[in-house]
Amino acid sequence: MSKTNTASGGTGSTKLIQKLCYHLSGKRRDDAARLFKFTIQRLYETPHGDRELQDEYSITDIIKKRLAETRTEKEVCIFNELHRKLQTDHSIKNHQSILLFLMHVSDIRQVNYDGSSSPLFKGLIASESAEPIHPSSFGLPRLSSSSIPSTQAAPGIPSDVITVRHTDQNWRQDNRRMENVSQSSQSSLRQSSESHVPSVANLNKPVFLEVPESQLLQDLIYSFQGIDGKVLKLSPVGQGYKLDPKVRVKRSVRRYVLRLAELGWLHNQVRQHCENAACSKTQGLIGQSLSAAFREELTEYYRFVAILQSQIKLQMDTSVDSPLSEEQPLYHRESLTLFRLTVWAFEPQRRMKCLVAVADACKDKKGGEMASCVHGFLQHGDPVIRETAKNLLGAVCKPLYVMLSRWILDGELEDPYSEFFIAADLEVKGDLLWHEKYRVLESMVPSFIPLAQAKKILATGKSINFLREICQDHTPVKGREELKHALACANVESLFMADRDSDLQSMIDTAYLETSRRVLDVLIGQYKFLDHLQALRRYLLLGQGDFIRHLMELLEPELIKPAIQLYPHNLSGILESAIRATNAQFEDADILNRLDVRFLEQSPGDTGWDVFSLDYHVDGPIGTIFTQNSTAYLMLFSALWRAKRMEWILSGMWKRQITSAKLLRKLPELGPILQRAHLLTSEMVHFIHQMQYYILFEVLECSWDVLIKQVHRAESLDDIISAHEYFLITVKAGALLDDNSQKLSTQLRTVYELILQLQSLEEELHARSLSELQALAKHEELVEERGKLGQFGTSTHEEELYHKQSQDFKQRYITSVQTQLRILSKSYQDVVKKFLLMLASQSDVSLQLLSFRLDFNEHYKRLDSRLRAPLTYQHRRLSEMGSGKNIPGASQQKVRIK
Amino acid sequence: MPCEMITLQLGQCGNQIGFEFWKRLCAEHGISPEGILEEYATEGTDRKDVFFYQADDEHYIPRAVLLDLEPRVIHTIMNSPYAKLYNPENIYLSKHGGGAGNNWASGYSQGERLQEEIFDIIDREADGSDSLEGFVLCHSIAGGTGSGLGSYILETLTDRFPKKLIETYSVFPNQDEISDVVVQPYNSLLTLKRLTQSADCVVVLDNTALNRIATDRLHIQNPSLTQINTLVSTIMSVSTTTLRYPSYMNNDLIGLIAPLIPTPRLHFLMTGYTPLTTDQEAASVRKTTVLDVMRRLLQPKNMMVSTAHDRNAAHCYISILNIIQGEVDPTQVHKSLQRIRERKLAQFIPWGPASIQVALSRKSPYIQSAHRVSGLMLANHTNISSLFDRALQQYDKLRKREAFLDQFRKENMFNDNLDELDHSREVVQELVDEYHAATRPDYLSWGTDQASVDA
Repeated sequence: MSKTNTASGGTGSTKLIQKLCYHLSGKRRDDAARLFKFTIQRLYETPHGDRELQDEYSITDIIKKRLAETRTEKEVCIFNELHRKLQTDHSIKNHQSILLFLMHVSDIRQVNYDGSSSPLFKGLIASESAEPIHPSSFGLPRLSSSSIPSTQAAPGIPSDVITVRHTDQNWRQDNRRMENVSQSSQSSLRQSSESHVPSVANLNKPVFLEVPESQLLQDLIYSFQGIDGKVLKLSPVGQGYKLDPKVRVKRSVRRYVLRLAELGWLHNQVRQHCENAACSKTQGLIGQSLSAAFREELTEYYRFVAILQSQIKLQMDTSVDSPLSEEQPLYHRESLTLFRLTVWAFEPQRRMKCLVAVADACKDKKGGEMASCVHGFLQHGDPVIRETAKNLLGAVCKPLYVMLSRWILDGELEDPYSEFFIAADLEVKGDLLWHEKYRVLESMVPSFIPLAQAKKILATGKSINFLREICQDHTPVKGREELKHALACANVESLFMADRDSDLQSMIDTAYLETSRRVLDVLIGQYKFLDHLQALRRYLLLGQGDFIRHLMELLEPELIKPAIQLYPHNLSGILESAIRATNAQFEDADILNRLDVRFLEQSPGDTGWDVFSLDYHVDGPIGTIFTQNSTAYLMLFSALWRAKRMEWILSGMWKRQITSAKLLRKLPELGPILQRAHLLTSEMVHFIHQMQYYILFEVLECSWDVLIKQVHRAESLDDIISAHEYFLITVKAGALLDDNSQKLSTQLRTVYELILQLQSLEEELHARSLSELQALAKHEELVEERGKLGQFGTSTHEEELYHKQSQDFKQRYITSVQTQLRILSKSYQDVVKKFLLMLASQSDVSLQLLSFRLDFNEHYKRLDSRLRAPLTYQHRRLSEMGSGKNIPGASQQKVRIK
Repeated sequence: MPCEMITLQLGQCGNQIGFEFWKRLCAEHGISPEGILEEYATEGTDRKDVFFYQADDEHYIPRAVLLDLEPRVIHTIMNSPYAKLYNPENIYLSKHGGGAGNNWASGYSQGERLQEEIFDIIDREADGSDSLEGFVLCHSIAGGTGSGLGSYILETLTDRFPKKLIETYSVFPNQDEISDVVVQPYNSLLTLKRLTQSADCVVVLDNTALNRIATDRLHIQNPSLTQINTLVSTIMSVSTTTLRYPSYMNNDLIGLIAPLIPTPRLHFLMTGYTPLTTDQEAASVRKTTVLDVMRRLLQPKNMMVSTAHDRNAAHCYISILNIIQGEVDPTQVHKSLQRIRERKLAQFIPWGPASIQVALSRKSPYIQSAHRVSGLMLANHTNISSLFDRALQQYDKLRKREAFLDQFRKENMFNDNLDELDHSREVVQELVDEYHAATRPDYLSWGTDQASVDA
């Protein structure tokens, strides 16, 4: 009988019936169609749930009775014989159904005998009497036999039909096991009923172990509501409903009952979930709304149960009043049967299943995570489940949507249960608000909101808070009212429906753009972000050249002192006068007030040069962009300042040399060392100028260009912050301040050291030369005086002294300076060559460019074969080995290269 | 204000180019001919105080001293709209007004006589500046006043301000045309000695090249003095642009010329400018990129010095500084340098590191230019010695014949002998030798040989 159900629902059985009709009608289409129609009609009219005819025994009894009434005794014997055969034949299941079917067919014959003119039908009817062995399915009388009806059809049921029926092997095996049990019980039942209750009237009354279907139905309906029935009770151990083991119910019925009882169990689960949710305090709004949605579903479900209940009640009442014979019309009405119930409960069951699945999945989850979980069900192939999930998600998203709206509109987090995917750290204040106060909890981002979108949402609310708290800007963001209106109108579902271009998405995007724009406008307009950026470039990155130069000039006498002797107020005063004297005076007063002197950490022996730094105070809204990078600026300043100082020293040296050269012409013996000193100085000047040019223009100015472009293009504060950070990273890398170029910057320091050495040597040489020059002048004066006095040629003590001194100067001092210069120049060249080699082997292209600039005319390349080697991998490796001292064999290889 | 420069304009030529220079500076800084800041000139990012100072009534006054021994040019200036610009106390005209008669010796000896008055002005001007960086001298080396008086002032400045830099813009005579100044070779040689020994940086403005550029490049048949002087003023203003528009680097004169001048004597700089246009020709705008500009600057035809080709020496650049103005993308500079090196467009010295240095400078916002990018090259090239060589040859020709020496003998310096001429020749010859030495890798030991020769 289960087949009947599936046949009405599934197409497979209908097809089989159609096929059968086709064969039976002798492959004539018209007849086949008619026959098919008739069959289907019949099949539907056939009552399925003869409650009295629930066992084989009672059916055979009825058949025998009928036969006895209408036919001869002999036929009853034949029937008995055939029935015995049927029982022994194990390839046929559902004997009871077959018998029932046959019985009905005989009924039909009685009804339609005259009406049916079709020979087919006659055949059909004829076959009934002779052939009790049938496939259990309604529409399959005898497929293998010919279309011509025969009274004595072959008893062997075509095996192919049976195999068709049992395509699912496992299912069959499972069933078979169960049948064996039920068969044995049936046989015992039959024996007992044969001996004790042979009459038909007795059969109709429930046996003390039997349960009427109405009872089962009632129990089922109870179970649907989670109430234990008389026989159907919630199993204390397992989770489902169990039939009272004392009750004997036919296995097929039992199966149905149990299958239906699952709905009860599902209902219990859902109700349980709702109850738990109601008790739980940590459930949160989203969890609450999920429970609420569940409860709504339950209400709907209870309505369904109530209908069933009223139905069964009506039925129970009528069945109590009316005897069995009057039941026939009931079948044709909307009466409740186990099968009907199955059909009716089918959909609620699926829904409940879905609810339970959702409830299970959402267990221990909350907020966005829960929404993600529910959203997962939206992908289900089953439209019913999809629909249910959609309803649930709609409910779940309601509080989420409210939170989202509040956040986007007012930047307020109304999230007492921490369910929203944006969290705030209330400890964070001030400059860090933008960076640290709010963040996206990735696990809480509902799966229907992409992370990028979530970040935009974060930025929107964050911007509002930023404007309000940091910028003290309370004017509403442009388009807020429109947005508010639009948000109020928008459908919650658009939050998670797949369409990315929907109104809501574009609203979020617009809100994000508008608020971001507003933040930028406030920062750039009201808080002059660009001016401050420019100021940082001018003062901390030495862009205001005249000011820096003058400051250095003024500070020099202070900064050569040991660091501990410095007083900030002195230096501040100097800073002031440097500002007044240069174009810095035209700067905005606000910017100048922020400019200050700062001392870096001192270590013993430091001079003022080592610890001095300019500082630029940034606070308020723009601090959000700059504060975190203040150390980067200080680092850059000290590197640039140091390079500038070298330029300053060299400029001083150069100026002294070039101006004193006019005087020192009188001391021709100085010529060679001056020449050497000049050339070494100019070499250093070249190096420092190129180095500075590289850092200031190639790196700083180029990155600045990029930064300004990006700032103008920026859509949000985050864009600016990241552009600014990128700027600092590039500049730091270019200025050899990043981690990769530590060796390089050490080498650069060595170059600086040598410059300082040359400076002291040159100063000494200059002083000695000048004193020598004075001595010479004095001597000449003396000679002249003596000439006037007429004392020629006589060498006095003074003259001797002069000559001795001059001799000492010429021979000892000049030679020693010459040696010192030679050594210095040699070591300078070595250091520079090594620096160039290190640059050439850098992977950073821009650093290779620096080496190209430092040696534009390939002067050092001519001097060092290693620099001439092409930049191959091997070369690079070798040069790395060359720099590492402890690698055995490195020296050998170097020799080979040379 | 730090790093002030005092401009001294000497003689006819010096005052003329000086006049054009101030005209141009006024235009660039938005200063009216009367010295009043124009209303539109509110940007305030330029440094006017390097070359100007403000009077009590906020008028801008050039730090300029105008000196001449004859009144003609200064009178022209005083009759021009710019008359009120200058501080009248800074204009000095010799009382007898007879000029120097194109005679170096006359100019020099007049300088000796007038030094008190002249240096009163210069001292006052120097005292008026906070930290004077140096002097700029505009003159020609061929005439009498610019060369003679100029020479005297150069020597005296060196004595009086030993720590200040002296930069000169020296106009060299046109070699293509026969000069009416017959003693020009003597004048030039005598001035060259002072330029070698007393100046720290000489920007050579060669009239030969300037005229050629005017005719060949600007297509002016007979270029007037004003047109030539406009060229000169362009060079002067652009070469000071990094001082006037401060940026990261080259903000003072030392920063500008230190990388150019490796040893004290090799301080003669050539200039080149591109793109060159006149007012009439502004329509023909060429494409200008940084590479174009830098490449053109290396072409001899754009150089403001006409140098003879010398087969005997491998002349080369000692240093180059390109001042690039306009809309420059800093990334282009490097690419251009790479191209120039790849194609070996410039030969450099073999004895030390050298490169094309680039200074990116801002441009005056008040002067519209049809060109996106323009560039000035300041170069120290050994071939400049050919100019001195030529001066020596012309001197030798004249000297061999003992021609036109009478006028010189009249002056004190040459009363007794002509040793000064011989000595000057020696100094200039030495300069030529040093430039030649700088083309060789052993330049490092050049002084050593010299010392041993001296010893």
